[in-house]
Amino acid sequence: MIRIYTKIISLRITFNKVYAKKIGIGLSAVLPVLLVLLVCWPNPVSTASKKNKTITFAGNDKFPPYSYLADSSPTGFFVDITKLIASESDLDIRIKLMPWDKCLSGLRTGKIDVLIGAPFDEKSKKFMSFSVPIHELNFSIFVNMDNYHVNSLSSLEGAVVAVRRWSPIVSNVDKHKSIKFVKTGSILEALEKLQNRDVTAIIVERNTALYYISKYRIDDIKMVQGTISTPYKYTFSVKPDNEDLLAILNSGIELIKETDTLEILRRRWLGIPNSRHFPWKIVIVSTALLSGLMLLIAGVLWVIFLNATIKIKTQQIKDMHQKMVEKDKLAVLGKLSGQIAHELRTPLSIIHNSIYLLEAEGAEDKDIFKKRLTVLEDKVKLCSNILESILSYSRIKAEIAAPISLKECMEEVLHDLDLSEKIQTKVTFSDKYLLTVFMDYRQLYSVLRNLMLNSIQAMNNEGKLTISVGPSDNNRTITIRLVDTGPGIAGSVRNKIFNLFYSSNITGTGLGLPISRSIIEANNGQLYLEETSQSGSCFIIKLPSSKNKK
Amino acid sequence: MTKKILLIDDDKDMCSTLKDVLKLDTQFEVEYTISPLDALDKIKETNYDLIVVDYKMPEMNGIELLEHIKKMNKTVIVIMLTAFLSNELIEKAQKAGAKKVLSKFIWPNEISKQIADILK
Repeated sequence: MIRIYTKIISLRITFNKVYAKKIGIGLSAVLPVLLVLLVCWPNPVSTASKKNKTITFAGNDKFPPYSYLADSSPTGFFVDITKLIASESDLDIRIKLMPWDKCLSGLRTGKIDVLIGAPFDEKSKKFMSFSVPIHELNFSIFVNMDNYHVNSLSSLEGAVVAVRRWSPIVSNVDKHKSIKFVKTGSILEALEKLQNRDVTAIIVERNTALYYISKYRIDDIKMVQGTISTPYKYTFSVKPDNEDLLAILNSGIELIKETDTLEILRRRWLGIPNSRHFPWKIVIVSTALLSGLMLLIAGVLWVIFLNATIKIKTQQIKDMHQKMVEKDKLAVLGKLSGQIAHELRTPLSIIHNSIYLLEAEGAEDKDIFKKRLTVLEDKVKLCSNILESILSYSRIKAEIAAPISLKECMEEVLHDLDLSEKIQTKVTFSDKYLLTVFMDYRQLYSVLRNLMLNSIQAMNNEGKLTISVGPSDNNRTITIRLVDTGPGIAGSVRNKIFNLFYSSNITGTGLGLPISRSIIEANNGQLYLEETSQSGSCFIIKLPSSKNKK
Repeated sequence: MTKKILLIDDDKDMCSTLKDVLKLDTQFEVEYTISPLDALDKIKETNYDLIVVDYKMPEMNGIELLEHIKKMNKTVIVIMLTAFLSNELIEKAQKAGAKKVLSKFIWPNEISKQIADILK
């Protein structure tokens, strides 16, 4: 506002200087006269600025969306611009909309001070002065929907074409002599002529035609793509002698162009964004924020989804593991049952046979009777041993753990085995330490017996069994080493021999080694097969020394 | 002419008690061996009417022994005894030429009866 006032004042000074030169009188001599003149001069600007004279603006009443009457009230893009400039320039204005020819005559007669939306035209400069452009308008060709021939101005040669009277396009298209132009009072009238097929095409301001097509839902008219010529500049225009008012209008136009107000109006009425003022920063920042927010939401959702998935999968794994454990238990149980049955049936069938024979033979022949009883006793013992082996597997943890002298236990095993002369045994004990372990005597006995029997079987009842017992790991453990001169254990089965029911010997139960290992491990020891470069096998038992037990 | 039977089982007690059961129930001439290899030698020398083979033996299993026996004497009747009877084993044994597969865990006189029926 202040800027506009400043300009107004400067313009008035300029104007007064020019005026003084024109009358050719020295400033000093005519100063009093000038002062009187300045006060009394019928200047609309000065009066307007003081708000004691209303400036009349007039525009085309049939030029939507730029200027038109809505419920008898002037409205439109140009009308809003006018109001805005008047407000910014503190002008008291009146807006009238009427047919354009009346607007022109009104300006000529002085009834109207300013024309709203006057197309700039060099030829008209002698009749009126134009402001800086407020908007540029494009003209397009419109044809009937079924017209596929018209695609440019030149394709209209020989055709009848309607244009609006007073439209700036008239002077442009008039040079096409072969086109017969029909001039109408308004764009709506031109559209009606086209609809009625009185004309082949119309050349009119694009947005106005589209406004009518949309408003009246005209579906049988289409626009030929592309503009007919360069855009036309639309301005405010005043009488040539009203340069002051023009200066105020120009200042107002420049002012609203500098702000976003013009663009807001442009978008509101025409939907045309201004690339220069397009708020890229806001769009970019908004997009970035929105993207970030979406990513955050997506991330949170992803985490929730992952958590849920992990929970489900974990439960599935647990269930699967439980099933596998159950399945494994059942498989072991099934295999174990089969093995027990198999191992027990042979001695039981012998017992059965012996009882059958005893019943038949009686006790008359004492030798035979005794022989039957011996067989019975042996087989009952065998059955008992088998059951004991199986039970020892199920209750591996010793119930009666006590310090055991390895020497004593070893000697008892060897004594009980009652080995033939073909089996040589060499047992050595380190005499530096008291070699005792803390475990169940029966369990240690069964492990040693089992390993020795395996070796004897492997040597086919002929060979040498070397056993050495001594401290290891700084006296924390005791190592028992059993080496035989048998064929050894093939590399392919070395890692299988401790598996339950695996037996390389067809008469083996496949229980001895896994049970022995389980017993030793239950006593915090180790039982393994040591690789040797020599033939034969070497089993190692490592047990904690009883000194480490409290 | 007295029928000759050969029993093959790695358990000597099984062999001797089964021999005594058969001798008690039938008039058959019964021999036994605890070694499959020894059994093959015996089969070469003697024309047995029936051979009873155990399945689980250290030198070779009953099926392998049965195949050897059948190579040497196609017509000899072979019965397989097993502690653990299964459909799979019955199928294998019959495919190899066994006349019957019997469980060790049946009444002793039932074994005698089955053998007597076959040799009728």
